[in-house]
Amino acid sequence: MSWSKTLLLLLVMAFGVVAQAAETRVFKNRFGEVKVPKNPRCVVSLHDFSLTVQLMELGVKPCGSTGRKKLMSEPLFRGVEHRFDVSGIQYVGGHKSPDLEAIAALKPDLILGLSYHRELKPILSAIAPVVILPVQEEGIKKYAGQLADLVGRRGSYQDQLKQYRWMLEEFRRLVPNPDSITVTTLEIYEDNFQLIGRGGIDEAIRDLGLGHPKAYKKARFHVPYSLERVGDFDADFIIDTYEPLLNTRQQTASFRESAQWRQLFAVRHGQFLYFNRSRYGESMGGLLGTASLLFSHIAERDRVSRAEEIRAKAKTN
Amino acid sequence: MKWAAPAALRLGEFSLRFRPLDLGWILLTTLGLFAAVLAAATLGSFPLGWQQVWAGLWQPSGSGEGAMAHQVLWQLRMPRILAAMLVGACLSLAGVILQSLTRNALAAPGLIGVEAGGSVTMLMSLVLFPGLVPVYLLPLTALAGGLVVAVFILMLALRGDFSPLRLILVGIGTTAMLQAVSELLLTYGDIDRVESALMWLGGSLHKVTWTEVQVLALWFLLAGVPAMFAFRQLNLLQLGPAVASSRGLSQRRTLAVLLLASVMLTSSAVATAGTMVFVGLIGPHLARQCCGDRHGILLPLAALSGALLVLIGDTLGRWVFAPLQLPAGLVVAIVGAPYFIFLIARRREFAN
Repeated sequence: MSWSKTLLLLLVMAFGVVAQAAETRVFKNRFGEVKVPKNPRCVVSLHDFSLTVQLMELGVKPCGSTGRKKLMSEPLFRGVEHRFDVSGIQYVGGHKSPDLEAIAALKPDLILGLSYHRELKPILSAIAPVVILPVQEEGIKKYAGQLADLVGRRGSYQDQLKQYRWMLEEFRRLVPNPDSITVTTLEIYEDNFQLIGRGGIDEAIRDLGLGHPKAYKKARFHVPYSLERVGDFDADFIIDTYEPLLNTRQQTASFRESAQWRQLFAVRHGQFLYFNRSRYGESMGGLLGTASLLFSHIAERDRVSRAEEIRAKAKTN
Repeated sequence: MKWAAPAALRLGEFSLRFRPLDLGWILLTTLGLFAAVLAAATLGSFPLGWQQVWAGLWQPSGSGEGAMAHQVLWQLRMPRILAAMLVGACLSLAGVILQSLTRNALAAPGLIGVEAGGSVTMLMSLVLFPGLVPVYLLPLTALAGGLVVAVFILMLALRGDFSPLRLILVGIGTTAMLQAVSELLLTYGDIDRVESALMWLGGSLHKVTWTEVQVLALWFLLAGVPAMFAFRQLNLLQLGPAVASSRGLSQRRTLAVLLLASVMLTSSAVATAGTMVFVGLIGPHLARQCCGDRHGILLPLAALSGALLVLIGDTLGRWVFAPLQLPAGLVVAIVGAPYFIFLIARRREFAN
C-alpha cells in the first residue's frame, strides 16, 4: 500500500472514531433526561465504591474517579484497588466534594454520579453531560443495567446477571424455605452499632429470600443504636463487617469479648459471619461475591435455628 | 502630622470625616483584594494562565479549544470568587454591628445564636428531610432559622431597657441549646447524609453557582449597604446609651434595625457557605487594627477584610492539596487564628 493510501486510511479511521464519539443519544431515568455520547471516550465517576467498581467490572476504565485520601497519603479507590489495575484513573477528590476543576481538566464527555450529587449537577453540566444513577433508590441490579447501557456494555452486564440468577436458583434449590432463616446485618462501632449491609449484602439477602428478626423489620437503618440493644436483633445469622483501613476489627474487639455479645444465639452457635466491608463494592460483582459467601455459609453447611431453640426451651419449661 | 489631618466627604445630607491614612488603608485592602481575585482566578487544578484569564474575562463565550477554559473561568471560578468575597463581607459587617451594639470585642454572629439557628434548619433539611426542600430553596431554610432565632433573642433582649450583657447571655444560652440540637442531628443522623452536612458545616463554597451569588448579592444590597450608612448611629451607641439618647438617637429602633441587618447578613452567608464563625470575629478586628472604632471607615474596611479573608481561605482550600478540597471555613480558622492571636497580643489596649 502506498504511503498516500495509508495516510488516507488512517484519516478515515480517525474521522470514524471522532464521529462515533461525537454521536449522541438521549438517556432517561428517574432523575431526568440527558443527552449523552453514544460511545463515551472519557467517563468520570463520582463514587469509587458504587460506580467506578461497576465500570471496571464492565471493562470500562474511567479517566477519573473520586476516592479516599488522607493528607500525606496516596489516594485509594475503595472496593476497586485490590481487584483491578487502577493506573490511569485520575483521582479527582472526595465523593462529597470532588475537585470540579480537576474533572474539567480531564475534558470528560460523561460524568456519573449518585443522587446526592444532584446539587453539583448544574455546575458539572458546564463540563460534560451528567447522569445520576439510582444506586440507593433502585438497587444494584437496576443501576448497573442503566450504567451498562450508558457505556455500551449491555452484553457484559447480562452475563453478570445470568450468573447471579443462577446462584439465587441454586440457593433456593438447597434451601427450600429461606425466609425461615433469620439474618441481621450490622456494623459494630466502639460505642454504638448501625444496621447497614454494604456492598450489596442487604440486596443479596433480599434476593436470596432470607428472613429477618421482628425487631430488624421495624428498625431504622443507618442510625446509631446503643450497644445494649444488640440482643434485640439476635438472629440465626449475624453479619458484621470490618474496615481494615480504619482498624475497626481491633477497635471493637473488646465488645466481642463481652458477655452480652457471647450470649447471642448466632455467636454461641458459630453463625456469626465477619466480612471485610471493602472487599466488594456496590456492583454486580459485589452482589455475586456476597451471594457466594452467603451460599457457602448458609446453604452449604449445617446450621441451627434460633426459632427451634426457643420452641425447645418452651417445651422444657 | 499634616497627612493625618481629617478631611470631609459630603454626599447630599451625609458627610463623612476621614483621615488620609484611612483612605490609604481602604486603597491598600482593595488592592490586596484585587490581587487575591487575580490569584484565585489563575490558581486551581485546571491550568489557566494570566493571559487566558484576561482574555476569558472579556469574551462573551468560549469556543473550540478554549471552550473548557472559558467554562472553568465563568462557571466554576468566578461564581466561587464572588461568593467568597460576599460571604466574607457579610459576616465581617455583621460582626462589626454586633461588636458595636454589645460594646463587646468578643461578639460575633456565632455568639447570639443566629449562625446556630441557620445551621439547625439547614441540618434538618440535609439530615432529617433530604429532598423535601428543593435544592434551590435550601438557602432560604438557613435564612428562616436565623431569622426565627434572631426575633426570639431580640424579644428577650429588648424586654425593658436594652442591655448588651443580656443580649449576649441570651445569645450564648440559645447558641448552646441549638448546638446541642445540631450535635444530636449529626450523631443520630443517617451516616451518608451526615457526611454531606459536615462538609457544609466546615464552611465550603464548592457548590456555589451564579444563582447563589445573585441571592447573596441581593441580601448584601438589602442589609449590608444600608448598614454601612449607619456609621453615625454606631459611633453614638459605642459611647453608651446616655450619650446616644442625649443626641436624639432612638435606641430601641436603631438596635432592632441594626440587629435585623446583622441577622440578614449572617443568615445569607450561612445559607451559602455554611458556618464560618471565625470570620465575623477576626474581620472586624483586622480592620480595627488600621482605623480604630471610627465606623465610617471601620464598616467598609471590615467588609473588605472579611472578603479578603474568605477569598484567601477558599483559594488555598481548593488549591494547596488539590484535588483534595478543604472547606474555606477550616482554612480561615487554621491560617487566620495564629495571625489574629499575634495581632491581639501586640495591642496595648487589651492589656487592661
